[in-house]
Amino acid sequence: MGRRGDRGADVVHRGALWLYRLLMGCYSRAFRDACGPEPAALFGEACREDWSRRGFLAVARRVVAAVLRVPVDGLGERRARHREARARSTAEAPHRSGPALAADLRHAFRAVRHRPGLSVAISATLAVGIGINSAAFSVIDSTLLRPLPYVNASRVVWLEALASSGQTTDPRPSSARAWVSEAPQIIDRLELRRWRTVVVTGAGAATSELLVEATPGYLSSIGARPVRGRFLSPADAQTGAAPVVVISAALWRSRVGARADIIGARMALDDVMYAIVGVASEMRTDNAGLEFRMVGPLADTSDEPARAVAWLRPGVSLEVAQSAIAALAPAATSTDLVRAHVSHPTKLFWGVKEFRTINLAAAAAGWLVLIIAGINVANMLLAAGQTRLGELAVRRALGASPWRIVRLLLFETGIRALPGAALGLALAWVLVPWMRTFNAGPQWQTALERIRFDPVIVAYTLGVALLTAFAAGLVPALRGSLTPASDRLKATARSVSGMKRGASALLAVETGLAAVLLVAASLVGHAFLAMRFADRGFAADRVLGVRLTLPPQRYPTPASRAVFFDRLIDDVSRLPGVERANIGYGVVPRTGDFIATGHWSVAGSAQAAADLLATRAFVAPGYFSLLGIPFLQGEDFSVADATVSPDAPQPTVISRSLAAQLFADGVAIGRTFQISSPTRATRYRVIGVAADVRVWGLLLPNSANRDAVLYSPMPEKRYFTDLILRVRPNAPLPVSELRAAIARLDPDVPSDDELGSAAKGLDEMIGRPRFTAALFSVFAGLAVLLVGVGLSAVVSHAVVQRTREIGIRLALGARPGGVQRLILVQGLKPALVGVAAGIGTAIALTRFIRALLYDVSPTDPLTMMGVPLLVIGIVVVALVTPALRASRVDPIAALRTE
Amino acid sequence: MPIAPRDYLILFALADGPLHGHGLLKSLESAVGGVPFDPANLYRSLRKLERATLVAEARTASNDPAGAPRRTYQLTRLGRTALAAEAARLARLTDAARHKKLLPVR
Repeated sequence: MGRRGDRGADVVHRGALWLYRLLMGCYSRAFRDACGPEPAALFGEACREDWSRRGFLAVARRVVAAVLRVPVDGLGERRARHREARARSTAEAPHRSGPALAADLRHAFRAVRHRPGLSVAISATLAVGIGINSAAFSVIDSTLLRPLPYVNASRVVWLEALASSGQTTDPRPSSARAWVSEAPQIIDRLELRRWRTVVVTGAGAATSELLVEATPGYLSSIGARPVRGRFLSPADAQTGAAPVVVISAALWRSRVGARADIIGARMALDDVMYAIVGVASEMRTDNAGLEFRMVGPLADTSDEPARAVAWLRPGVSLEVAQSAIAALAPAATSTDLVRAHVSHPTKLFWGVKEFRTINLAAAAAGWLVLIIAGINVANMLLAAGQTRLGELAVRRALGASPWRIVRLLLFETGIRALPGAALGLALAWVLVPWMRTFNAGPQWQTALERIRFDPVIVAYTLGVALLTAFAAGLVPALRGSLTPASDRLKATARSVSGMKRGASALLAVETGLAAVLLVAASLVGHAFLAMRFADRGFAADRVLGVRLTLPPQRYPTPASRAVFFDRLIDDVSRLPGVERANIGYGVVPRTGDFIATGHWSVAGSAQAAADLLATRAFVAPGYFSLLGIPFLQGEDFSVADATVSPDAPQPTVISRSLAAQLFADGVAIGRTFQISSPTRATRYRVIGVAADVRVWGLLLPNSANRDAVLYSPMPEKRYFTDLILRVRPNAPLPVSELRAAIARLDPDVPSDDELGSAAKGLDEMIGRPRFTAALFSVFAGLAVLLVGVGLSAVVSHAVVQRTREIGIRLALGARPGGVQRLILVQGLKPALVGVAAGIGTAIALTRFIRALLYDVSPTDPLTMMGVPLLVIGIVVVALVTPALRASRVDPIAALRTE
Repeated sequence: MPIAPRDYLILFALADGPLHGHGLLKSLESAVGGVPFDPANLYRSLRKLERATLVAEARTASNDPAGAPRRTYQLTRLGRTALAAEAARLARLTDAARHKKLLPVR
């Protein structure tokens, strides 16, 4: 039945059962006994169904409704029962006091007003915790929890081609259509899309854009609406139909200034005139939140593989669909028979491992800060509670039940938590725009731009605030209601000696949690610095690159493209300050478009084939010396290398990291290796080993083969090519001159890419680690601040409580230094225990953020030794004030306070 | 005597035959357009209706042999009469609304 994993449904079911049983405590015992376990069972069942059918938000809605509703109803039921009972017993005289609940609330308000200092401290502490937590949640809400942008997203699956090797790829449209027509009982809708880069010319500067080719229903399936004109129709896809395109409202505004007569206007894409038939509202994609800007029809004749988005019929589970689809007849490709396969698409960002790690780590950090804030509040309440024990004892003596006292104290905390929640929301409101300033890559940026303080986030914040207030208030409240009355009455008369054991334990826990956070922040910060200052392996600050896309219609032959590039290199080399210019595709200005992946096996080696991954680069002779990448073995490509027949081993230069992985004996030159994928196998012959460049590896921090690069000669085709130039030392980068040189040759060749030195490009590439490091530093900094303030407050309070004892000690001849030591030890002891436990926990946990650590071990010894010292230092600073105050106690005055 | 809307919905859901708690909850939620319905509240209403002898409880064996017996609820004769009377009252109100041109005339 379940569309999502059964395990998730079970967790939801169990959690819902547990929550509802807890909530049922609000009803009277008689009612609970009469109902039995059924209401909770029903609730659990309903939540499980919501989860499987409608998703997280439906469950959240039901849970929030229950949490808000059940206590009110339950207390109402109790009151109604009470009234009935009273009405039945005629012996009791009519009672005129108002409802106890209202009285308690009134009293709690008065108590909160009565101690404004404490109330402000509690609200502020909670605000910090809640703000951080809520900001972390809002990021997660807009990334991990965001569903795919399809209509009926819960039924969407990817229809894939499963090769005999077990790899899945996008299917050919003909196979996908055939499979769907064979399984109409499983799949009731299929949409296909793929994209290619095109050069847009006319009306403004030439640009390169992604043109999405999709089936007619695709646009409506991603929830886009036509703002102007129409969407695609099946007739547009037929052979011989006039080329048409639908553009996004954003492109409409930016390119033609939202011109009203846009429909029917023409636009040249790769020198082919397309008629604009419609303008669509936002066209969101399943590609990590990026937006489509141009969508044209997927031609019926073209059978290149495309992403196949299929909708399961309502009620068909993924498991059923998988077995039914696997039984369909396989389709033949040129080298293999592929079977149909369906898989559950991940959430928008879930598939991106680094995203997931950052998000989950930020959420964990948010909760740690909140727990620390909660502990601080509990400590403040414990301290304050000691001075109130007398009042509570009197209440008990006058007949208040323990429950009533717990309730009263919880009301007080709750009332203080609400301003905390409001302040916290305001803090989150400030933090989110701050996060946007980091420019942590387009995907994050889109996610962060989307953050709105919608009801979900406000409800989450309120819920978290009340939960924290409840948890933090419960410890002192239970203490207040459970201590025997005799003890509490005595407590009013005599000062309490020392800190309570509870307070010490809480201090230890919060110090430990802060240490965990500091370790995480320090590791992530360390990794960022390692990235920032890593030796790039080439003269990044003197290299400027621009990606050029030549319109294929205008430059149809390799020869025409070669002429263009030769002339451009010639022109650019003569620009002032330019040392050399060349073409290449791979290392700068951007990388990562091509990856060599598959089974790698080395000829004549017993080593088993391994799955490796290397960046692919295509370079012209002279590229290495231009960038300043030294050769460790062998030599650069020659012009003849570009024309080696496809059947012969392809000459290749590999990076040092790749050589180390392929050839254990260190000899690489002349050796051959093979990369085989389901569709083809290619042999390579090593002619050179180049030093590593640290570019692409910045995005794959902990991958073993992060700096592996496979260089091949620049192919003849040269559709996409980067022009690279190196300037003389200290010469300015000729950005505008370069643009002008390109425009002189051909104004319709787009060069609108952001131009800058390779160093600047790399700096932008590590925007995400910079963002993570800053985020964690803020979290950890606030956590340490909370710990310092909390510790200082608790120990100060203990000093006040012990004034009399300290006075006696001083009167009996104790030295001020001794008293100071006494106080320091009292505060340091729990802190030391906490730090030790915290470092232990951190060592166990940091491997979960391994994906973020570049050149840093998760158990980095420097961090593991430095953090405890830092925490202890902060604790000592926090203890200085109370220790000094203790040593300045006037013995005479202290003894008089009796 | 008018019946509270929630009680009316419960009686109405039971008009087709006995239902256990889960079925009742589902049909109530679909009647109000999918707004979550609180189970404890449902049981409170059911107990009230039981005391008024509009609804009677019957224990039946669960489909799951290991499971606890599930309670099912059914309309009593009085319950059915009350439901019919309430429906008639609502129909009269609807007619009156139609008369005042608040609703389109059929």
